[in-house]
Amino acid sequence: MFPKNKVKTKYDNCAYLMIMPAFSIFALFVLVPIAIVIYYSFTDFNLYSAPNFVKFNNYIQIFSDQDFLVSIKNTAIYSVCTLFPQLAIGLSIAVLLYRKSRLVPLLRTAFYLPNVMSMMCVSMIWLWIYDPTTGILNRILEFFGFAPQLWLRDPKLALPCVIVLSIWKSCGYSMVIYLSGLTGIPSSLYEAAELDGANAWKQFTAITWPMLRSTTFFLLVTGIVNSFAVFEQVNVMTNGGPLNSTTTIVHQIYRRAFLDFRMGYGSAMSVILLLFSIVITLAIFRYGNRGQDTDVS
Amino acid sequence: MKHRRVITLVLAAVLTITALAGCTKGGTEELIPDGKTDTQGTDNNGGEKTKIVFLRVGTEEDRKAYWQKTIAAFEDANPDITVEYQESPPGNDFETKLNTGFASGTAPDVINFTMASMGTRIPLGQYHPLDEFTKDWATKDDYLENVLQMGSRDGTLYGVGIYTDPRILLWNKELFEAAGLDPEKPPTNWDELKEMHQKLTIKNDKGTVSQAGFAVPLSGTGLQHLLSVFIEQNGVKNLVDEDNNKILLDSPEAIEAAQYLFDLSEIGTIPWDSTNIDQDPFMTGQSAITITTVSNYKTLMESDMKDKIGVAEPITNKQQATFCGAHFMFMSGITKNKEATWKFIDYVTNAENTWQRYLDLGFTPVHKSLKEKFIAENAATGKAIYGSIDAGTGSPKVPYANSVYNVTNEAMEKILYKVASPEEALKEAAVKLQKEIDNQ
Repeated sequence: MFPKNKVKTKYDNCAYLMIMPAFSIFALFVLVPIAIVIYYSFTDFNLYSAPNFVKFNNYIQIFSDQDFLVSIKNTAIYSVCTLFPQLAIGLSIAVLLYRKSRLVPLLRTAFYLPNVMSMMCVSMIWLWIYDPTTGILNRILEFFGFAPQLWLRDPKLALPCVIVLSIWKSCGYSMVIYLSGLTGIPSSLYEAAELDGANAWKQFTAITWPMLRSTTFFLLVTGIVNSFAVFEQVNVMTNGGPLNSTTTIVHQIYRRAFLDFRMGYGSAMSVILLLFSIVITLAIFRYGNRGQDTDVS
Repeated sequence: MKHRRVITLVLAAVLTITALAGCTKGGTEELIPDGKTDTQGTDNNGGEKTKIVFLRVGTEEDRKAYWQKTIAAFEDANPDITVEYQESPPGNDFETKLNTGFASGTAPDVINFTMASMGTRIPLGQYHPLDEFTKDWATKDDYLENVLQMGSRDGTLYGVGIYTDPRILLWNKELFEAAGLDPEKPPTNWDELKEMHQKLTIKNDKGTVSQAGFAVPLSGTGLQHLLSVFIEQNGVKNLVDEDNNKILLDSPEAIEAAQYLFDLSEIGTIPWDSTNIDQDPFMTGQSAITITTVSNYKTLMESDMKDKIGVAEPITNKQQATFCGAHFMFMSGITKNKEATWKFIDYVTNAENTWQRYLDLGFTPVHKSLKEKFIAENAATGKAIYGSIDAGTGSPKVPYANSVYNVTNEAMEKILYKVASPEEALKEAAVKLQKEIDNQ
């Protein structure tokens, strides 16, 4: 930490000047839009006419808007059900592929590949997979004697279908980050554990997992922010249906702001989403960021 | 030391200016160039060509080729005007492209879009009224009345129709014959449709439907079109009465129509999503009757099923009715090239080009003078298609049209997924719609 009585030097001004370009861009493209969205959330702005101030009307309406409330529930389910399996699978693959073999680079590339593909293209591919009439998934089910499913057209299955796609696409990213975390664990720890008679599972729970805490923390925070912003796959695959079973907060924002021309109302939804993200991220920072000071030097 | 501070300051300023350079208005200058802001074609352009931007809904290759050919011919006939062709997929993509265009002041000059857009975009001033151009426009008298009416709101013409999109009744003669029905006699009313649907539906021993008579979709954005067809056949004007701003989708006749569709679905259907026409069981020979677009009929005519398909006029319960959308040429409310824009609209909507559009793309002509010629060339289908156009009602032209579609689709999904009865779902939908209207 900086000493409290630190004397301001001439280098401070220089530092401020040097960060000014980056900060200007951040202010212009992040802070200013956020301020504008907050302003619009108190208006009836419709994209084309001058906005009128409507006080808290948008916020009052939001909490009686059943579609929005459903979207909060769906987003929460999506976030929880996507994030933890994605981390678990990513970690498992990373641990399994953290070894020397000719096949390892190939497998790492294969697992990471979905992450670099456009979500739009991936969604189209999974649309075909889930197609009730011609999709490969139903063909496989029928081959093994099971009844075909409606998948994305079944209100009970639609959200899980979207979640499976998201896990498949993102676990490669978790794998790569975990692999970088694994390289930071000194091999001497494993050697010492082996001498003490620790088996592979014990080594994982006592060394690998605790040493990957900061990596997991990073993935958790970025994953939550990304999960809250889920939109593309929902828009392409289900458009929020059937029966609003896959609509998410961002999907509702898009619908209200850009299809119903209610930018003020959509802005109020965005502010709520921002608050959710801030609160949950702060909570993770507060309760999930402990024990990062392990000294392995 | 002083020099170092000056250098630092200059460097920081240069970096900031460079970083912010991308924030200038350069990105929008291409679509509406400066100096081309006259309303009198090229007269005030100092000899420069006037450039207008034409945005079309849809990305079909054959239509793109047609429009590019038509634009080239227009430019030959009007050497002082150039037309930039743009296109975008229908649905949310197109809506978003238009919205961002209007919000940023870079909207196209001419927009080819559907009737459904009029309710929301006219009140926002995005479509320019055309009465000043059509006052002495000879082609207007040649237009089908229903098409002119569809392109108008409160007595003012906003869109010139280039083709209609009626929902026509198709039936599969081969499946009729296999079920012991007369292959030349399609249903003409609700009772016949239900009776034929029962006879044509085939289930296996597990109860799975392998062939449906009339396959009611389970979900998707087309449900509101389907419901509007049946409620209008049952005597209701539309989902909402746009003249009196009254919600009609919870009327007893509308509930009866929804119940009828639910009953058909209960007899047997192959679940499909009406947003995705590729899933329509009729298109794959798994269903014997459908209500679909002329465009889909054209697709079938190019497939192996071409000899099996019949086209019929809309069926009746209390009245003959169907949904009939239309595609229009709209003049942008913010175009600065109104004369050039109108010249282009006039060119593509004259009788000669309308007939060419039929020859190239199969679109039913919207000119009275071409009706008989079309029927003569399409003896089997022409009458049924014009019958559907005449009996057709389009989307309600109200500012809250999107809410009408969303709420109706949601209500129909509730009915078909058996989450609510037709009465519960439609009454709840009406309350929700009223709330949406009040909040807008």
